[in-house]
Amino acid sequence: MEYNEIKHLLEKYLEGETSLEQEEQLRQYFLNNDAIAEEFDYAKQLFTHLHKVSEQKMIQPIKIQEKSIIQRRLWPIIGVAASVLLGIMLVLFYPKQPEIVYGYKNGQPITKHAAMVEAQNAIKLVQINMHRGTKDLKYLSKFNETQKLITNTKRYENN
Amino acid sequence: MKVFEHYIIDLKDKAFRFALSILKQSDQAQDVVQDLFEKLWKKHHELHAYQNIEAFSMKMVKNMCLDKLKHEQTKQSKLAMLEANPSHSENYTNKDTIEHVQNLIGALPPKQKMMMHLRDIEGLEFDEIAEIMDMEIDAVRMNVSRARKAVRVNLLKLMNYGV
Repeated sequence: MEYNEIKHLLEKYLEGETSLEQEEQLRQYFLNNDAIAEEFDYAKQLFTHLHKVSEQKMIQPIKIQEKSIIQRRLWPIIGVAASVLLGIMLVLFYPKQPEIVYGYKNGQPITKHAAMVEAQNAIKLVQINMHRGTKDLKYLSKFNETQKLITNTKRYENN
Repeated sequence: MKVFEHYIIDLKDKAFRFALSILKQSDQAQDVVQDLFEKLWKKHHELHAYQNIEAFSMKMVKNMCLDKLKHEQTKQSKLAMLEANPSHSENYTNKDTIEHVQNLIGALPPKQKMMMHLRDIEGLEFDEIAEIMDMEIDAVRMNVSRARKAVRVNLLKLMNYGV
């Protein structure tokens, strides 16, 4: 680039009127030329510095916790699985209550099933006796009818 | 994730340099960049809605850095450390001229320094800088101009008087 061109661009640069392309031209010029007019020495230092800083990099890597996203997606599944498992465990390992012994028959404990059978037998026994009782009740009603007849007759005689 | 990785590669160093120019401490600048990407990652599904993710991110960097500085300042004033710690710009003997430039830029008013950084180091357009700084484009242009002129004047002074 010509001396005049550089001078003109630098003036525009100081006024904040250069485009990014023109600023890049200036940067390239000062980075690649050692033999420059003395009055541009400051600009060479400035652009060399700006270039140096623009090459700085952050060494430390960024740690984005990808885990948390996977976990976020997994948590509902983990929740459902855990409750299902808990349900199965409850069914399988629910402490069995000892069977209630209702009584003893011939030295053997009577448990739920046997007790039911016993109870049914007992009810049947009661039923038979009940019916036996009702047969006699038929005679009792005949007695009632006779008594009614008698009372009616008495009432008739009084009138 | 791949789209996000692309942002990271593209943005990481820019954000780091910008944070470093404000905070001057590499470890603090790294913290800010780490925070930035955690925040961006949280909303990575909405990122496409932003027209200029770079400007949006740099604005976040600026705000996080200023918050950090504010926090540091209150901490420091509590400890009455300000006078005991002169800024780097004041002691520039025995350093090469490139470092002088750094000190001269470092000594600029904070906003001018940020704007000059965004323009001359990150190569952003004036309208992007205006968005980041919450300022009018003309005001940005003026501030960048002032910053460049101030650096030039001070650099010429240094060179003329010799180091």
